[in-house]
Formats: sequence, structure tokens, C-alpha cells
Amino acid sequence: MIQDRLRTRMGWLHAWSGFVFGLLLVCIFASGTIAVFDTELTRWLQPEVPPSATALTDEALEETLPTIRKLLERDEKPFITLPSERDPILRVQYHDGHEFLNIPFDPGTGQELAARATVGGTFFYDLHYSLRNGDTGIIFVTFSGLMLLIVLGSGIIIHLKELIPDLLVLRPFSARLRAWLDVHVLASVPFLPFAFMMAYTGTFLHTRSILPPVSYLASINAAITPVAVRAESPALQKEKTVVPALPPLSPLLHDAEKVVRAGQVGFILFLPKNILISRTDASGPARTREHVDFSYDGHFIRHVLLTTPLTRTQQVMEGIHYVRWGGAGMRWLYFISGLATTIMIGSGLVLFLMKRRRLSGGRVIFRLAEGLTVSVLVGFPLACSGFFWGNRLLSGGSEQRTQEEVTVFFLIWAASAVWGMGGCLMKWRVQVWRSELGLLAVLSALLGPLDLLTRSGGTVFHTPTVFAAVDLIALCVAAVAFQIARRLA
Amino acid sequence: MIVLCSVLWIVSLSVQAVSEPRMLRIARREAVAPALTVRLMRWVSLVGLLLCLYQRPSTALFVWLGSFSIATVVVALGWAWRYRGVQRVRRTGGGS
Repeated sequence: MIQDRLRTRMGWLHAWSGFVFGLLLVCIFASGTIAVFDTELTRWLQPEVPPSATALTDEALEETLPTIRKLLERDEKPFITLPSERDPILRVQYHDGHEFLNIPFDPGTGQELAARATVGGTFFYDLHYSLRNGDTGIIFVTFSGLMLLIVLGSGIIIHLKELIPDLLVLRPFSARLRAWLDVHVLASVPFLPFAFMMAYTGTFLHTRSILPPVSYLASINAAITPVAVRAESPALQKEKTVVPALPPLSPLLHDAEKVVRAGQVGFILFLPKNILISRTDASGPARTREHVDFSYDGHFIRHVLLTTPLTRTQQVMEGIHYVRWGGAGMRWLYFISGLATTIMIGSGLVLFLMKRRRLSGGRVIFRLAEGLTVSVLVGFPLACSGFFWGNRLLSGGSEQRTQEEVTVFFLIWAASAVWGMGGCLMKWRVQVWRSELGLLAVLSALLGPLDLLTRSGGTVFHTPTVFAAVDLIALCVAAVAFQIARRLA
Repeated sequence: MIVLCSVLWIVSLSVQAVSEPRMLRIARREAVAPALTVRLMRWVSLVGLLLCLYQRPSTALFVWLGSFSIATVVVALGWAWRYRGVQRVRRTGGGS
């Protein structure tokens, strides 16, 4: 009796908190899933950069210095990412406030590669952890992560008795509600370890945003004050940076390699006072960011490796969440698990609407909720697809190109939301779902041909892995969208 | 290793499905007591864990659990595909 009452209460909590936060969590998980391959996506988004390159030479490293100097003069904090298994290209990168923009160089000769400016795969990374809204976005994302833990916990309590017997049950040809419930359970139960791990580590990493060490008022004030206003305050105004002469990098790199081992250097960061040569995140499960610091006159300053229990915990949590150390196989596991968790949340949203349609289907609030669901479940992938199209179709010479890519993404998403909510309010529910799913199927199916047409040297029978993987996944998305649209009543 | 672990999990979960009353009901199959060797096959996935630990301990648990998740989806899809006819008949009332 007590158990039944508990299950009923947990059912209410699971349904309502799941729906309200699920709308946001779908976007967070979908963008996080895509961001697992952010480096590879950047390569797809810059088709002018060759898919393979020769090994790094000392001369090539020195050739990047003029670019570094220019960026330092603009008060940026540039860094050089060295060629790696994931990306064979030498890149100079800097943060524009949202994404890491990059300038690619040939690692053999040091010649700058003429490639389109793009926000790259880090666009999805920024969207994932801050919703492109800085500290305010991080608070929302972290709180949603916390709610996901509650939703998962309540879901387990509801389903505890049937957890094992239902593990392998899928009846796609049963009644629609039954079929969706099976999909929801199948995408949840086997992937629970992953969902818990990601929600826990993700929330842990930004705990300070929801449990700040200072008063809430001060923390909220800092979060909602725009960065530009803060920068204008007299206390924070800085003098113009004077860029010192840059030392040759290869001797510093070789010195650093003696400390962190050869082949273990990930990037070289240029700060106003010193140069940090840091260990790659791919070196192990703990994201230590161990670094060797040099002054601008080329002298060794210090070796930094934080080893307190607290920092070690933080490093392991980051390592587990970012999975930059596990190799391609592990990243695919994360990608598939992330996709399943997104399906779990998405199918939960659909179930929430299905169960209430008979009683509340005519209400304005219900139709608005359905419009929001369409905008998230179909609008978000539609915007992602549009982003890839925008990347290939926007002219390469435009100075504001990176911003245009982002604008394309949000314009498509906004249009989808307006049509989704407007259509549902006008009781064109089926037409709304069908039209958006149909458009998603067309855009995704044609992404492969678009890739082949807009990438020099690409043929159907010889496509480098990075490009082939993106095109094939887009084709799978198209097939799923088409199938769902076809089966809609 | 991921592929090998997934295969071992698929074997293990398939044996579990064959001996699960609910799965047999969906497939409209009679329950039969499986032989000892078949029952032992349920634990074959543990070999995968040992292999993962031997190959790279730091990723072992991730690979083993991740391949379990994938294998579950594969077995569930395979079972649904195999017995879709039975479910269709039941839905239309032809089988009752």
C-alpha cells in the first residue's frame, strides 16, 4: 500500500518534472552528443583542410608566431593545438566569447591553409554547457542536470518491479502508447549507468553555479550583468597590452616534453605574462592539465601539477565527462549512449502528451505544450541540419561568416518553433509534425550529396572517414524522420 | 574490443530472453527448461569484462557497460523483428 502510494507520487514527479525540464534536456543531451565529436566536426566544417597531413616539424611551429602575435595584439589569449590522432592539422585557436575559432596550418611546412572561418564543432559544445548564454546558461544547464537525476531516480522507483523483465521488451507493432512506452524503457534502462554518470559528472563540474560559495544575490547579479558592462567598470579597465617578443617555440616544446613525456603535449597557450605548454587531455582518464610555464624570454618558470584529493576528483570527473582520453571506440560508445538518452527524454515528452491528449487535448495550454515539443524534438535537429547546410552554402569570404552560421541555426530553429506552436494552436497538429519531419528528412538526406558537391576531391567511393561518418549519420536521421512522418496518423 | 564485448553480451542476453517468461509470452512460445550449458551461457559476458580489464583497465568498465547497452538494444530489436508477425496477428485479433 505504501509502495503503491510512493509509486503514484513518483509518477507525478517523474511526469511533470520530466516534461518541464525534458524540453531543455533534449537540447542539452542532443548538443552534448554531437559535441562528443566536436574536433571531427570542425574538420567536416572546413572541407578545404586536407584530411591527412605530414608530421609536425619545428619550422612549422615557428611559422605560426606572426599569427599568434596578431592575436595577442587584439588582447586574445591564443593557443596552438598540436596535431593529434583526432586532428592531424596544426591549429592556432582563440575563444571569441562563445566558440573556439581556429586558423589551420600545414604541420609539415607551417603554411597557413586557406579555409573558411567557422564556429566549428565547438558551437555544439558551447550550446551544450551554457546554451550560448554564459553564466546564466550554465545555471540553467546545471539545474536541469540536477533535475535529470531526480527524474531518473523517480523513474527507477516507478519501474523497479519490472526493471529486469522489461529490459528486452520492444513491441513496435503494438498499440501506439504501448510501443512508445517500450521505446522509452528500452532507451532508459540499459543506458541508466551512462545517463546517471553524465548527469552526475555534468552537475558536479558546475556545482558552483547553483551552490555558489558567495551569497546567492551577488552570484545572480554577476550572472545577469552582461560581460560588456562589467568590462566597462573602471576597476576592471586594463591598459593596452604590450606584446613582448615571442621566443622560438620548438626549444620550449622539447623542454616541456622532457617533463610531460614526448608526444604528450596537447597545446601551447599564450597568456599576457607567460607561455603554458600543457599536457593533452587524451593522455589519461584524469584531465590534469599539467603544464610547464615559460617566460616570454624563453626561461623555465615552473611545472604545475595539482594533486590534492579535491583537484584529483575534479580531474577524474572532467575526464569521464569529456572522454577525450578513451579513443575513437569510447567516443562512439558515448555518442550512441547520448543518442539513446536523448531518445529516452524525447519519448518521455511524447508519452506525456499522449497520456493527456484525450482529457486535455483541446486546451490551449496542451496545444502550446505540443508546439514546444515539436520545436524541440524536430526543430532542434532541423536547426542542426540547417547549420551544416549554412556552413557549406554561405560564401567563404565574408568576415562575419562565423556569426552568420550561428544566425542560420537560430533562424531555422525560431521558424520551426513559430510554425510548431502556431500550427498546434490552430489544431494542425499532424500537419505540423509531418511538415517538420519531412523537411528534416529532406535536408538530412541531401547533406551527403551537398558534401560531395561542395568539397574538392570528394567522390562517392573514396570519402575520408570524418566526412563519410557525418554524411551517413545524416542519412540515418533522414530515414528515421521519414519513417516517423509516414507512420503519423 | 567493443565489438567482441557486444557479441558476448548479445549471446548472454539472448539466452536470458529465451528463458524469460515475459519474452516467451510475446513470442507465443512454450517455456522449456534450458540445458545446463545454455544456462551457463548467461554468464559468458563476464569473459568480456576480463578481456577488457586485460586489454586496458582504465576503459574496461566503460566498454563493458557500454557494450551491454548496445547489445540490449540489438537483442530487443532482433526479438521484435523476429516476432513482429505474432504481434500483428494479436493486434488485429486474428490469433485469438
